[in-house]
Amino acid sequence: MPRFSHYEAALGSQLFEKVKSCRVLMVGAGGIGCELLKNLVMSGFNQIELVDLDTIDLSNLNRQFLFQKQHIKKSKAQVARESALKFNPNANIVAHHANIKDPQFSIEWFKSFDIVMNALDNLDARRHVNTMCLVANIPLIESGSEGYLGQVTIIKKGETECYECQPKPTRKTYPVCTIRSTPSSPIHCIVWAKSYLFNQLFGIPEEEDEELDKELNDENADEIANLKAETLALKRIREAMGSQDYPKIVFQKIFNDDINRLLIMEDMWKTRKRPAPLVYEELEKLKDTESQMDQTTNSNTLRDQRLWSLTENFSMFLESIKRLSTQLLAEKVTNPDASLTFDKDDIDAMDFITATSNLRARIFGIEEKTKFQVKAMAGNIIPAIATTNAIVAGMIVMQAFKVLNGDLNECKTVYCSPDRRPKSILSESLNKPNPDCSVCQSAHVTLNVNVKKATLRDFLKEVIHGHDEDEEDICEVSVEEGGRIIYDVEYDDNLDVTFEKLNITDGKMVKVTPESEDDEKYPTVFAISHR
Amino acid sequence: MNIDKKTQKYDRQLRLWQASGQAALENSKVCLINGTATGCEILKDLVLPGIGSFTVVDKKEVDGADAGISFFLDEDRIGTNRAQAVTELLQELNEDVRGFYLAEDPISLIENRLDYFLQFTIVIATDIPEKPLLKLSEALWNANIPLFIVRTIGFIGYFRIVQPEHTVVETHPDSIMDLRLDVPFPALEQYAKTFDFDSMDNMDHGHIPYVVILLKYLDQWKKDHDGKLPCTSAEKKQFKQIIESGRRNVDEENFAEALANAWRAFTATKVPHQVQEIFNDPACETLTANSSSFWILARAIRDFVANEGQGLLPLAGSVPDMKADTSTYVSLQTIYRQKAKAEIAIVRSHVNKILNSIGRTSDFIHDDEIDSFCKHAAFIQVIRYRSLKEEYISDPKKADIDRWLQDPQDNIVHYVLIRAIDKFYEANNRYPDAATFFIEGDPEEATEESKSEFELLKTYVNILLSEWQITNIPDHLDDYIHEICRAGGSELPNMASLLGGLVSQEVIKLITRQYIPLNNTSIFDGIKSASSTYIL
Ligand SMILES: [Zn+2]
Repeated sequence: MPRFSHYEAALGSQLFEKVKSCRVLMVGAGGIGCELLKNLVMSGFNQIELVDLDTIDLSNLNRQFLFQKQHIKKSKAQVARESALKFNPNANIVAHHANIKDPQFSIEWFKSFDIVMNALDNLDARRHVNTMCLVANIPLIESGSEGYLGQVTIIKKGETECYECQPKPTRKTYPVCTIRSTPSSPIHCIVWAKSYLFNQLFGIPEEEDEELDKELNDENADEIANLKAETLALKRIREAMGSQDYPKIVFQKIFNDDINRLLIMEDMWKTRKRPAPLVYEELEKLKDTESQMDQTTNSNTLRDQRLWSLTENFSMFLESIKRLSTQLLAEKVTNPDASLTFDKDDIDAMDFITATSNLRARIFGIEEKTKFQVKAMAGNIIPAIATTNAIVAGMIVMQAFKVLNGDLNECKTVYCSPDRRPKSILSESLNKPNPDCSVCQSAHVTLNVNVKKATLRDFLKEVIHGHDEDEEDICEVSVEEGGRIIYDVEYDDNLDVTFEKLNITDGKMVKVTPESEDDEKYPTVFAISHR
Repeated sequence: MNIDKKTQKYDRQLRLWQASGQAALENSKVCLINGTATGCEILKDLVLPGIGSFTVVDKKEVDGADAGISFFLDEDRIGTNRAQAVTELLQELNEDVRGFYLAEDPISLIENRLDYFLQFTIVIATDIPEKPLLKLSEALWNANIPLFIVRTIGFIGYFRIVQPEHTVVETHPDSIMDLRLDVPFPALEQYAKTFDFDSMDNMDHGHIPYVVILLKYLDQWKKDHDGKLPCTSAEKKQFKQIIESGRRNVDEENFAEALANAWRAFTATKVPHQVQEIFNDPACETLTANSSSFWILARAIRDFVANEGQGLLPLAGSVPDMKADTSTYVSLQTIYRQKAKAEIAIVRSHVNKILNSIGRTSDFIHDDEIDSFCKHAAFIQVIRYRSLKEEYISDPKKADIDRWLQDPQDNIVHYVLIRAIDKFYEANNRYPDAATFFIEGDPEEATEESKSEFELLKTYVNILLSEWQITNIPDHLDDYIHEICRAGGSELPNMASLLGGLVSQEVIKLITRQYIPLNNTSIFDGIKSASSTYIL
């Protein structure tokens, strides 16, 4: 019996032909992606390109079944392709181990597909693909899962809601002073350990002076000055990395000196509990006596899931800082500018964050957390299981059939939520675009331009002024690229800089928003195409 | 694999069912009858999160159709035993899981060695006809082993859970909030009284925990209203206005929290209806040496409520996050925790008394289990299923099916077809298959052969409907009969995968005894992308 005979009958031969010939772009080869690639290959899709930037990690293996232990650290896109080909060697799969935001994935490239399927796990990439598909006018199937919950929907320019028609919840941020001087909850200590300390010691330190100045007021001038001095001192300490005393120097600085300096600011502690600095020598002594007393502390219980004692945190701090230093110094041999980035699945980084945040919590009398809990809070971890991803990927393909058949009006937003009975899988009609959405309601234009020659002034004069009668209005716009302001009424420094020097190259998007009184005007997005 | 590595590998799922759920999974033995595409997808989704072992029972040889549909079979395997082939490939997905197979005909196994199936934690049957299914289900029912019956045909998916009873403690409600605002226990009442709102400076006033704010205003309200809680919407509004008037300035977040949580002060603390029903259940009333720990604990809690609890469940003991300074928050937390701890100790003594009376030792129920039961006492669930015999023979849901069938949008029509196909199979030893005649997908252009296939299946549909005394046969039925003839009893890969996800999710809920599983039948329509649950 031919491989697809029943399937072809069930689908109808017309649709089956479309399935075989259409070009599919799959973005993401993770949890949903593995399932989706399998389903596509098994359902007769023949022309698939997939893009994923990630490499395989141990914590992927509980659901991303195209990967096995021997694949850890390899490219997800490449391994997914190889594994899927074993089961349908005839499928034509192109794998890109790359960021979907790279300029090589231009509007023109997006236009070469019939359908795009998102199997992503982050807002930023989803936003990007959403915009690209709107500009290229290619239907996009968007999906997501979290624990037992899943969702699939269709985005088509002008006909449905886009990814940004409904505002997305933004992540909570904390005032710098709370994090640095007056923490009052576990999350404050964790953010301090991860975003401040880890980056100061091993990563690329965040430019926080500006943030600090924003919080500056009459009452906290001393504190702000203090914090700036602290950061500077920490930068100098970093030079000692690798030396025998390094862990001790860091400890002394962050858990003793800095705390003592905070204590001098009496006003700060009038309404708060005073922090109690830790003393290195005391902890060392405590550690020695404990280890003499008991050699066999319950090493068999799940260490990640129980609270560590003070000395355990202390030892782990010393150990993890050594391990991270060794790691960074080794990388510096080949690349002097090397730095570490926080990764929730890196054991050393998580040990470090857990130990330091707990030591800080101890100082401020805040509840301490287990490594398992710290990981969830620091890593913004979303629970993920094979079952939900299988359901979501199945839904994506069902929706794809409808899109390919031209039945957009029959497409649905599908939710799965197993506790919602009797309908654990529920579908709803697609919403119309939100007329106030700044993303899908803006005009999208492809701009052919020589980025080496054209300057911002040329652009404003030729392109923007080009469709405006009144010469005075020319400047009443703001120009943005990737979230940064290139030009506005009060900022004209870049007028005579070329696009290339402004890092506006092939594939980039330039958003021009009118700043006149007229509210009716939506932004225009120019997709740059270098020629 | 060492313990920390394992935590890392299973990290993303441990956040759903914790170490206790994972341990249950790792101790489970799952049996799959027939290595169909759907069956393999179910096992895939169970092997990945790490069940203990699986066993595939299947005598069939792999054919071309299998290789085309199932991701776990390729052309090289054609002619080999299907159980062995899929076991080898599934095993590769997770080295922590042991895979076994038995290359025997499941139907003759059911006929001759029914006991074989009693060694498993759960049995999943795919593609088994009605008669052997009834026999298998009865044996498993008596042994208290859950059975899943699973079918996918074309764009239709069906599964049914059969087991006498399932009890859940960790149902994972959205939040466990047990603040006792209306009935504060002495320690809490005392603590609230230590806050003299009026004499506080602005800093302290802005840090009074909202629980204390609500306690204070509710106490005052009850004094003014014969001990009653705010009840009508006018009263509720008035109560909120009183809180608002105590707020010194709009920056007081704690008062904003108090207002947002004011509704908690309107609800009387009491034993929820579904828990009361569990208390009244004969299984709770009459305990024996065979009673499960769930029923022993339920009884201990019942005894607690009737005595020391004075009509209330044990306190859950957790306190939500709120605006407060650290030391105040910790004191409040301690007050709730200590009370909860004291009540757990009382429940423990009831448990010991019961265990003693039924001839069991106190280590039959561990402290952890009691802690968890007390914490979740307001959310415990008992689900009783109908047996397959009731559904098929002694008590089919005729009236319900008749009613559902009249709605052209309802998925029940697929149930009728799946049952009819089983009857078709039993009589003809094959599935209705018109696929090859219908290649254009247009029933109008159907050939004579396909028409006869349609008529044949329709006779079985009619037999079934008349068995159920359904005379009002809906028009849309014919379209679906055409549809299912076209699928030729065959699975579609994408549907197999989707059903695999839906079924394995329920299997995991049963094994981990966490979250509330489905009762008892789910039917999924791929074209409509919608599922429905029925009690059949
Ligand atoms: Zn939009």
